Amino acid sequence: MSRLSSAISPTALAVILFIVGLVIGVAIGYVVKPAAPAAPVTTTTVTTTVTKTVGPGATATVTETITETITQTIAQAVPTGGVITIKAWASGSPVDTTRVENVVRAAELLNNILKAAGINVTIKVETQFFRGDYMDKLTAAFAAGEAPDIIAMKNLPELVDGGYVIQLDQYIDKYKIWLDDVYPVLWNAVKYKGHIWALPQDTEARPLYFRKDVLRKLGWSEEEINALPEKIRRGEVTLRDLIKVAKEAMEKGLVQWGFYHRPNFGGTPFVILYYQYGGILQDPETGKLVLDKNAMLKMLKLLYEMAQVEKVLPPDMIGTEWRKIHSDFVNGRVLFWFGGTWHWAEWQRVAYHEELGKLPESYEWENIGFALVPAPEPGLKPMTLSSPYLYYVTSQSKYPEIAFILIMLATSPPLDAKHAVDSAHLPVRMTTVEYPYYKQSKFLSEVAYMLEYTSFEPLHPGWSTYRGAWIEAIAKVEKGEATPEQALEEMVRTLQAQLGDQLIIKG
Amino acid sequence: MSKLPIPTYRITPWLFLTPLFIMIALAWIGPLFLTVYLGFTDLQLKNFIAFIKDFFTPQVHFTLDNFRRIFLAQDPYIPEVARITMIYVGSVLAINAFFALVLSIAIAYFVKSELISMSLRVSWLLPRITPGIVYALMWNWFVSRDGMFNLLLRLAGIPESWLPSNWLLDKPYSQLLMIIVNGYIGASFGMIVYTAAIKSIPPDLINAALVDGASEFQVARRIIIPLLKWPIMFVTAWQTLSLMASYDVILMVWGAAQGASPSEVLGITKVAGVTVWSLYAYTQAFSQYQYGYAAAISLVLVAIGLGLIVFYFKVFGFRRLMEPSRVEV
Repeated sequence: MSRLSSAISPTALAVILFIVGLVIGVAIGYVVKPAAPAAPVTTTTVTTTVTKTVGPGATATVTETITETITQTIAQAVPTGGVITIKAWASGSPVDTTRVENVVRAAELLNNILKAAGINVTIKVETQFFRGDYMDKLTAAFAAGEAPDIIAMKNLPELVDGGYVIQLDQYIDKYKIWLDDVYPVLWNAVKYKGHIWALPQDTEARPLYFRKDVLRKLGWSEEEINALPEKIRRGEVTLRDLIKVAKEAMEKGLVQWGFYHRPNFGGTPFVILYYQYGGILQDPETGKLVLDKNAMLKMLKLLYEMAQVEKVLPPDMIGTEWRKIHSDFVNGRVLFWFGGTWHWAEWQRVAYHEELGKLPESYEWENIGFALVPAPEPGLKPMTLSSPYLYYVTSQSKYPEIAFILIMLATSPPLDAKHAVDSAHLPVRMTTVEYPYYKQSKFLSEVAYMLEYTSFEPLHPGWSTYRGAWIEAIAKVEKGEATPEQALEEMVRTLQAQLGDQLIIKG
Repeated sequence: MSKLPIPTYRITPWLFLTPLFIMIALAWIGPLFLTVYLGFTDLQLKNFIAFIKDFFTPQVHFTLDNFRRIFLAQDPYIPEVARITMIYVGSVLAINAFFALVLSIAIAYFVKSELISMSLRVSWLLPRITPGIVYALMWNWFVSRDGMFNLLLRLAGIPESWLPSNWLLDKPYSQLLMIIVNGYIGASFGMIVYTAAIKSIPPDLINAALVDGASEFQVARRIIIPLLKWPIMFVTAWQTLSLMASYDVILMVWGAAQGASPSEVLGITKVAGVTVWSLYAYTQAFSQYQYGYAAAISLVLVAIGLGLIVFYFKVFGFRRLMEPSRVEV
């Protein structure tokens, strides 16, 4: 004992005690600090701000101009003045960064208005842009109490049911004069459980792209090539016909593959084909998800035929790198590509071509055409699908109304035009099409007709589960690991287990 | 010093251990209790916010549904995940514990030149010291359609039609790849332990055997391996437990390196047949947002792990493992 105690000098003991105390102190501080203020602060801020700004504001709009409403609202929301920070998160392909940049532009606009009105508030926007799904980061940010104020994503039912986003009805009412020109059909995509939860950010169509140069080499005349989209629109050319063309092009060695589709689940061509075969995904009365076995089987059979019988589609399409897909189509190694309107812009902005790098638009007009997704068989209809991207205000936002004003301005026609043209999406405001910046885009005016043939995905919290089982069935069928019947059986079993009474099986 | 009521030598060890205990409490015991609790709840995206605001929110329900889904085959994918996990743990363990043994004997005993031995050891350590994502990307490029592996196979005269269209996605190649990719990293752990043990065998033992006319192979079989009994058991026990819980490399090779977002990882790994148990728990939590169910899935792993620890303790005599090396006695 004496040896041990003499080994430790009083100074050393003091140092050890100090370090231990420090560690314990930091640990306690870490545990205690966020727990105590986090919960009450966020809740009270949300409620107080909402009541404060909405209560008097909602009734006051009638006689005032909208800019006055905005400046007064902000002066009330931030009585002390100074700089407030709004965080905006979004995701998308590389050309979609306007989803966050437009919020920054909206803030600049708003700052100018505030300055002119002599209000001492400056809005600073911090942005984050993700290449793919960022729900995991969002939940982590919520858990830490540091959620962004504005988010742009889809997933409406999950966000609403989880309480991540707030209702926007009262703001939409208050500012409706600035929202009059939103395409009426798009309001359907933001209504859920009787309320409006988001503003449409953009929409799009999903065309079937084709290589004009390959068709020329197959002996098609210029008129025949240019008439193809119209023939598809009228249902005179079906997917069956195009499979034959694709086979011919492959046999002649003009392309490596006839068709490519996306490497993961998406609207095209899966949902489109299912709809074309007469399937529905959501019961209009109960809102439950629907699986029409008949339509689903036909859809799976068609993909099986393309990948395993006619061999015009690579069997390992699911999971292929995006870069390879774009590169193969842009370099003319694939004849048909089930893409989206935004790809037209992506090819101009990302260097996929092995010689040209980024494609000049003139190259695209010369070599690439686009049409609706053709009817799979004679007698059925051509179609496309739109899946509007949405702006939400989160429930952790300390300045929900300011966030709302920002997204309203970010989707206002000039900025809507900027995003639509730069990313080759379709606008959300009817007046946007009159803007010079929009009018200069030949591509957008030529795809505009597709909105008449468009369809939507269901709004249901179980939709991502449904998609998961569906993509698995598709992958198995295309790889030849299961027959369409087996894959369908497995899909039905999985979905029944996972969705229970939220799923209606038909047929 | 002796004025203190409790002798210092009693306090000092605890003083030194306190930071460790604090770390364990915060980083291990806390999450463990949380996981056990969550495993019996229906926590998901829907009630997550309510939960982080109020730990005891009525929106989170106590339920046994998660375990019903696992054990009553209500989740049709569970048997497949269990099968893949057994293949994964079994095969990678064979590499990490037994191939590593062969490797170490070869490197530390058969190869007499220290320089060659050293460079061989370093080459096996490379994957471990390479940042995970770089390692994953390198594999992705190596086995991609126009990657080096296919190029080498074509050069070797293998016809195009024999090659799978995608090494990462076509079973059983994808599963074989899962084993190799993990084994290549994992083998170095056993190798280091074994090599150190082999180097500490007194040369007298080996020299005596050689003088008596034993062949090199006999030395390895009759002297080295018996003396390595404890390290082998240690590596086996350690690796089984860590393999059951490991999914990081699979997640990187089949997820991040492919540019897949979290919601797509499950789909890809299902197609490839590489969804091991812990990865399934991960995807349920972070791509399906079924936090309760994910916790329940990982609890099964904890239960199996605890069972194995008891097993190793009894059968392998884990207690003796912890004692000083037998070799020096």
